[in-house]
Amino acid sequence: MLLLTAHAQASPQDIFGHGARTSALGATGAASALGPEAVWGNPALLSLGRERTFSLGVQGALMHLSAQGDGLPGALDGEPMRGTLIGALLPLPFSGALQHRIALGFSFFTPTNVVVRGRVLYPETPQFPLVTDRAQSVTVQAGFGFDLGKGIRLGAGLSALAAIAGTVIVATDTSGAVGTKVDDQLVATYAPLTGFTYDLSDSYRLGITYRGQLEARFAVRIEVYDLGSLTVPPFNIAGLAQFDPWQVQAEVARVRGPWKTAVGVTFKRWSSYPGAPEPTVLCPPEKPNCQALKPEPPGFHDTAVPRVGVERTVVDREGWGATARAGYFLEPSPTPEQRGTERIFDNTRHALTLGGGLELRGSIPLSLDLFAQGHWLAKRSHRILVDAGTGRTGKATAGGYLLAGGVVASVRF
Amino acid sequence: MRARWTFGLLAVTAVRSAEASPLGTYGFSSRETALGGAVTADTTSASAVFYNPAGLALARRLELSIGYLRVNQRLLINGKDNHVDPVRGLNFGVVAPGVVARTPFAFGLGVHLPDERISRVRTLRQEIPRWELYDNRAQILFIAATLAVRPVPWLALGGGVAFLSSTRGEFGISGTANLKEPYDSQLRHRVDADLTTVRIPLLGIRIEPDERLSLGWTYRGESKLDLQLDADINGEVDPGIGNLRVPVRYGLSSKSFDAFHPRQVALGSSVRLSPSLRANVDFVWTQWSAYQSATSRSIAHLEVDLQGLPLAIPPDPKPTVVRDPGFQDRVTPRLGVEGVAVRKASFELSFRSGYVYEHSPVPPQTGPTNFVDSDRHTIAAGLGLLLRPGFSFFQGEVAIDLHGALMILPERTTRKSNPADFVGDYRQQGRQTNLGATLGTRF
Repeated sequence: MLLLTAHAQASPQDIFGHGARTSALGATGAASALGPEAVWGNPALLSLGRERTFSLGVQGALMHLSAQGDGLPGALDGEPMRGTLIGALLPLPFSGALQHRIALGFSFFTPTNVVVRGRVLYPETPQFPLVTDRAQSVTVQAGFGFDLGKGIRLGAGLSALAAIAGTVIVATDTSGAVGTKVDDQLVATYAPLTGFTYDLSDSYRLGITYRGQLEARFAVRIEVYDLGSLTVPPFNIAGLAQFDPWQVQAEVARVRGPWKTAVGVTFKRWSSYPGAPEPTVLCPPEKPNCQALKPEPPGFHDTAVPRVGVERTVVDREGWGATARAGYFLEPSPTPEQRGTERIFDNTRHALTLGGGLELRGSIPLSLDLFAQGHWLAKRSHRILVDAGTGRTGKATAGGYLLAGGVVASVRF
Repeated sequence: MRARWTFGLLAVTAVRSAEASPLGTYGFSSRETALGGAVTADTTSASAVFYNPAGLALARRLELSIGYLRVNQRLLINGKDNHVDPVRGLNFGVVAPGVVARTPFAFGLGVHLPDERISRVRTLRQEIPRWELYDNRAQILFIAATLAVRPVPWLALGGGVAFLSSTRGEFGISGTANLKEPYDSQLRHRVDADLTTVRIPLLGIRIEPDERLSLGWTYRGESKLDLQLDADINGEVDPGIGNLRVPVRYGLSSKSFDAFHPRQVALGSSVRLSPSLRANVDFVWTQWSAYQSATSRSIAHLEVDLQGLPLAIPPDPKPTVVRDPGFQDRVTPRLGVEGVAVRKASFELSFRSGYVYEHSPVPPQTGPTNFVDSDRHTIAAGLGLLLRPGFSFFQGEVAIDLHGALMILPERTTRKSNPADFVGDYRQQGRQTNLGATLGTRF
């Protein structure tokens, strides 16, 4: 797996949420997630599951982005994202004291055509790295939840990605034929998911989820030999392709009654982001202070994302039920203002979410959940350096919107 | 002396995928490995994800399993060990059966995770002797999710997808390269790459004509790894003589395949000879004729306008000509026997044994290529302990399975048609040992 990016690329669940229900509820879930999507929302809530559940769904997003100003192209639309979602919830059928206490969950999201999209573009190339390529990433998660009793639940799990490390050597052999020798390896990287919930009362629940920093690095060393008097250093084609900062999501939810609500905030440690590009030429041990170019740190700052979601039971009959959902979250941008020749744009996003659910309770225990999201990128101006030679500056304005939607069918068996 | 380079394009495309190997080569789960893999009509555990997804529909309990496998390889050429990497890894499995619309239904998940990596890609020149089927082909992740239904009691259908990843991309490097002090080069790079999804189909049918006989059919799709590298380097050399600049252009194209795993179709039967004895026979057709060599196809071109400067520039190297490996399809018989030695209310003890004969698909290497291989005989054995502990909180079963297998590759002699062949004649033979255990919990 080769994962590449210009700046931080996180996973699609970090942009839109994970699963059709919580994505319709403002990407909440630390105190309110149900079913397989609780692996991401809060693995402790897996223990609420009483029936085996298998989910299959599709999800997509469109991105209309623009950057206006001197030398900027205007429209910078990202490639549409499409993918499939597979999830499973497996309550372990212990008996006695362990009955209804432990459950496992799995969840996979795979973009239709790519597992991960990664780009390391030159910083002067106009781009929206946080909302385009970062959506094109696989999600692999597994976890378990344990109900301790007295309203306390704990959960743990992991998210997984992969990184590549390898070498490509180009040289001629003894017969004079050119050959390339390739040796690269795909290695797994993991990040922990942990969760805690506490029932404040019969109707209200507190949930806290910690998601560890998930990153995937690529590093391909390319060596070219047999160029006579011409010598080139080994090329270090390397960088940080995928990056989710560690984050803590805290939430309080009303979980009973026809009206269910969730209010919370997610803290994201973006300041720990080291930057995607790495030096193209690495200094050898015998010359540790060589003059090779080294990328500047990106200067991201931490963010806090407030979220709210509301769910209303519309129909609750013996054979079926229906719910309507809505939510909102505000995703501040972690990127600094662009003041030099860089053209790395990102904006604070206002996300409005909607959705609904239909549940059949007869001989075919099937659920259907839908969601839609509209993200408005608040306009942001930058005083950019247009001509490095003369020092001339100009104004750049970035904005746009994202549309996302999906449907997930779940069967309980 | 400094050079100014603009690396126009340096593209690397790699496609990775996972299929049979290492599960097809060494087995998945201890019970199935001990039975020689002859389980197309006789497995309902998580290993059915690989052997026959339809078998999941016959599972009766939720099952979680974890196992470990280690294969040591002693593969010799002219009596010298080639130090082929061992295969080590964890196996995970989940089987979740249930009923939907009065129809038995099951979801299965199977994972083989190598200890050190998800996959390894290694290409060599075709003249270099290598154990083509056992070197890095087994160093790859297997992950698959399958569903199964049993619409009528005698028929089960299953299908799913095994997937991993593929990579396609483009690298660009620009800046100033310092020829005198290469590590002071002012270079930077850009990358535009995708890791694309690879899905490999897994299909299965299981028929149960009566209580004593099971029949099975499985299809597993083909997969391979493509690796492509294209470089187009444009630049100038500054020899330090006034404003003189020496234009330089270097182009490279390299394309190869690796980790090829052929399409397979398995037919199997399982006969219950008595309440305590079962015998299985499988035949697996493998389309080795579609095999593509892992050797890279490379072309390089260097243009330098020397302008009388005393620089030594080599001529263009000859392009690589990759020969058709000419592998042949094969049918592999697999046999397995399982008996229950002790059957009590609280536990059962079973013994298992299996045998596999795999004819080498590699033709005699009389020419310049050196794909080393030999026929392979696998003798496997194992024990299974099924416990019913009867705890108050756990009314299910715990299965502990052990396996050991010895794989013998008898001596084969390669004689070159050209007496002046660079490598010359050689003898190859080998031995592999496979040990492992699986712990399963059925709720």
